[in-house]
Amino acid sequence: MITPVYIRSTASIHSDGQAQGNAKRAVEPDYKEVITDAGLRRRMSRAVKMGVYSALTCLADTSSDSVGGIITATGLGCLADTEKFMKSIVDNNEQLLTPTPFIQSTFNTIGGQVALLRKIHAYNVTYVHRALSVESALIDAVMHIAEGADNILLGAVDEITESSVDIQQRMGMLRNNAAGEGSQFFLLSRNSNGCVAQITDISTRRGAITQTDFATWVDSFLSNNNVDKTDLVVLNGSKQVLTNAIDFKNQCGEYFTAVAFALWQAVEQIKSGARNVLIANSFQNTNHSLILIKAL
Amino acid sequence: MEELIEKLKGQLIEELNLEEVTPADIDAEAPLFGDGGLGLDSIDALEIILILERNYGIKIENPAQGKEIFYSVKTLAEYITKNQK
Repeated sequence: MITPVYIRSTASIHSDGQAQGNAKRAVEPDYKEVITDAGLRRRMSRAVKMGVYSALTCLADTSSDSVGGIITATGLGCLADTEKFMKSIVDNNEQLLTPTPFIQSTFNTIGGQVALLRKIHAYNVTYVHRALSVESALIDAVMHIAEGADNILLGAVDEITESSVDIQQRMGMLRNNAAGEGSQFFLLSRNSNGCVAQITDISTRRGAITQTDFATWVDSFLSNNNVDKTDLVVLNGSKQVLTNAIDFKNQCGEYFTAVAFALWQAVEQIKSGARNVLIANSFQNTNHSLILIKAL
Repeated sequence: MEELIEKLKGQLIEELNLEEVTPADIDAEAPLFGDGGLGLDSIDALEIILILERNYGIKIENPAQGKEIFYSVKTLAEYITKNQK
């Protein structure tokens, strides 16, 4: 059990579920509406634009002073700029490298840009923990709120590039899913007033797991939180069989931070009347997590 | 000179990701930096130095000359014409 944290607002950029080849690309908004500075926008890659747009949208009605931290999660970071920088190293024989792709390729680019734009001089960290990046970021956010922060901005971003889809496919990482991408941000709060849902518990595991062990883990997690299976919506991103579950990766595709899309979808389910939502996620039967969200 | 100016405009648009700008929008005599022109900044100046080195083999030896050379697309083109080997 964790200290409950409340979800005040959310923002998401995600796929509509339509695959182009073996990739489910996010449906991108008109960034100009939120990232108004053209000079800043032109240097941003898709990942940075998606992240900054969703973070600023999530923070729209929040004063910067009340945000106690920005915690971002990513599996591969700003991949397009990283590829551009690496290619430039090879093409130019390690000489005459342009600065912009390097500056923008660091993992904390998105969290840093949001802090600069909203003048949030608070804790700012990016978790790059493969398929448990979102869960690690969430646990950190919960601990900050337990220690007294009023609000924490939690977000996740990953982007598709042509070569990343190709490499993931060749390495067998996609496991019959299309490659996915997206950006979700959540404003988490200590106080429930005006919030839409509550994150009640989170549990993570590493290593291969059998169907029976997974089912036992889910049962024990629900039982610890006094949740009746008959009053539960299950968002499943694992290859384990779970009764009456919605396969959320069918819409967003497979990527390291796909669970953030499920968290956004869970809040939408709560808004539509669900009382309890369980997110069950696995990546390559190596990283597993369970997250429980309840209505207020 | 006109041909070089048009080529430079295209290179600036591509290398500096000036997505909403076309070559026709760039006044060759308008300032590249600050108000009243393209509004470029110090990171763009680094990118322009690399455009000169990579594409024209020109190294700016005296940084004090930078302000004058980088004033506009036209001053850049004039410097390239004078110094290209």
